[in-house]
Amino acid sequence: MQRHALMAFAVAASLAAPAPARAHPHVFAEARLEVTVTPKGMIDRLRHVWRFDDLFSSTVLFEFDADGSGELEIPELEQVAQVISTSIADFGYFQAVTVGGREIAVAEVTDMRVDMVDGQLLILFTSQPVQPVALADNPSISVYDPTFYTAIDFYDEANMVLVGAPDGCGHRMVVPDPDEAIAANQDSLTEAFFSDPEGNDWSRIFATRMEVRCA
Amino acid sequence: MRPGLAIGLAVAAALALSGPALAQSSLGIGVAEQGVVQDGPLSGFFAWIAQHQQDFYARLRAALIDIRDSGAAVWLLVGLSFVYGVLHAAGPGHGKVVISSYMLANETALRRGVLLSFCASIVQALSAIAIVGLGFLVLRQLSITQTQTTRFVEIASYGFVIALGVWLLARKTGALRPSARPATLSAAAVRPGRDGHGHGHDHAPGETCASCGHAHMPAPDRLAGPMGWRDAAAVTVSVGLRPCTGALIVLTFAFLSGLWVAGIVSVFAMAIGVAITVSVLATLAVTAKNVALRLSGAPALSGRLGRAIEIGGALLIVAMGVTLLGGALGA
Repeated sequence: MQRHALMAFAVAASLAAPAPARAHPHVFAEARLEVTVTPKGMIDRLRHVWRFDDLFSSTVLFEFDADGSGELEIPELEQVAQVISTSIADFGYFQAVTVGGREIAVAEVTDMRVDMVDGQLLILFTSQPVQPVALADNPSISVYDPTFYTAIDFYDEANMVLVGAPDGCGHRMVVPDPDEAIAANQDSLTEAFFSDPEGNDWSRIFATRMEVRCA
Repeated sequence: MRPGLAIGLAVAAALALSGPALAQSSLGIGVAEQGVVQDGPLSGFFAWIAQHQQDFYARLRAALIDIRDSGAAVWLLVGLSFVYGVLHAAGPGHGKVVISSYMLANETALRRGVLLSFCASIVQALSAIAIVGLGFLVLRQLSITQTQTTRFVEIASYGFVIALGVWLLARKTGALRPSARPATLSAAAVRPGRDGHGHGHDHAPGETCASCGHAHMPAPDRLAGPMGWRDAAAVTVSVGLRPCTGALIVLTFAFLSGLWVAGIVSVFAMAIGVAITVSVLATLAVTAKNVALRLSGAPALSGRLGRAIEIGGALLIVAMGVTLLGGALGA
C-alpha cells in the first residue's frame, strides 16, 4: 500500500509542480525599435515607440481623465507617462541587452512621452545601456514584458532599425516560436523558475529580439 | 492501496494543488491576473489552452471594435465571449482550485458543485459590472481609480479564501473526534445550542489569522448535514469577488464606447463559459475522491482516507489563500 501511495504522490507532485505561468496577455502593443550607433561603433540609444490596443487605451483614458472631458490633456498624459515609466522600471523597462549571454542593465529612463492618437495610447522613450556596448560584440536586444501582462509585437522587420551601423554589421529580427523555445530551454526552465519565481529571466526566451552580427 | 486508488488520489491532488505567480500589473495600470501554475504531463495541454484563449481574446477585441465602428451584430461577440470563458477557466486561476478543493473537503453532491460554480461565475460577472459601472458613475468623481478598486477587491477576496479554508479546517479537525466533548475553542462549547451566530469580519491587510479568538465551528449535528447557505455564500464570494482582468478591460471599452448592452451581455456569456469548465473540474475532483474511497475497500480505512482527503482539501485552500494574499500585498 505504501508503495502505491508514494507513487500516487509522485504523480500528483509532477502534475502540480510549478512551472512558468502563462496567463495570457491582456494588453497589446505594436512596437518599433530604433538602435542608433555612435561613430565608434557603440550602441548610442535605443528608441522605443509602442502603440497600445484600443481596449487598454480606453482603460487608460478611463483611469486618467480626471476632469471627465473624454480626452487626456497634457497634465493627464504626463501622469500616465509617470505611472508607466515608474512601473516598467521595475521590469528593466521591458527590454534586455545581452552580450555573449550576459545582460547589460538599462539606465533610468527620463524622457518618456505619452500621447493618445485616434483612441490609441502611444508611448515614446529612449533608453541606454549602463555600460558601453560595441556592435562588434554581437549584442542582442529583446523587448518584452517579463510578466506576460503586455504582449509587445513587432509586426514587420521594418519596425526594427539599426541606424548608423559600420560596414560589415547588420541585424535581423528573431521571433521565437513558443513551443520551440520551451523545448530548447526545457532543462533550464525549471531551475530558472525556482531561482527566479518572478520570471524576469526565463520569460525572455519568448521575446522578439534584434540580433546584431558583425562580420 | 490498489493502483486505481493511487491514480484517483493523484488526480484529486493534482486538481487541487497549485503554485502562485504574479499579482500587480507591470504597466502600473490595471491589475494582472495571478497565474496558478501547471506543469508536468499536462503542460502541453495547458499551452494549447493558453494559445487558443489568446486567440479568442484577440477575436473578441476585434468583434467589439467592429460593433463600435460599424454596428456589427452582437451575437458574434456573445459566442466569442462564451468560448473565451470556457478556455479562460481552464487556464491559470484560483477559482476552480478553491471550488475543487472545497468539493474535496466536503461530501457534497455533484449537483451542488455545479450550482456553486454557476453562482460564483455570476457573482464574478456582477462584480466586474459593479466595479466598472460604479467607477463610471461615482468613483471617477472621487478620483478613485479602477486599479485601486480592483486591488482592494482582490485583497478582500484572498482574505475570504483564507477564512474559508481555516473555517473548513477547524470543522474537519473537529469532526475527527465526533464523540468527544466540543473542543474549548469551538463556538459550540462557548455558546452551546446557539446556531446562526454571525461574526462581522473586518480584516486589515496583513492580518493572517482570520479566525483568531473565535474559531468557527457549527454545532456537531450540522457537521454531517448538507452544505449550508453560509458555506455556499463563502465559497461564492471568495471565488467570485475578484473579476477577471479580461472582463474589466472589455467592459471599460464597451462602456466608454456607449455599448452598454454589448458589454454586459459579453461579460455574462463569459461567466457561463467559466461556470461550465469549473463545473467539469469540480465534478472530476469529487469523482476521483469517490473512486479512491470505493477502491480502498475496508470501511475503517475508507473513513480515515476520506478524512485525510477532506483535511487536505481544506489545507490547500488555506495555503493558496495565504500565498495569493502574500503575492497581492507584496506586489
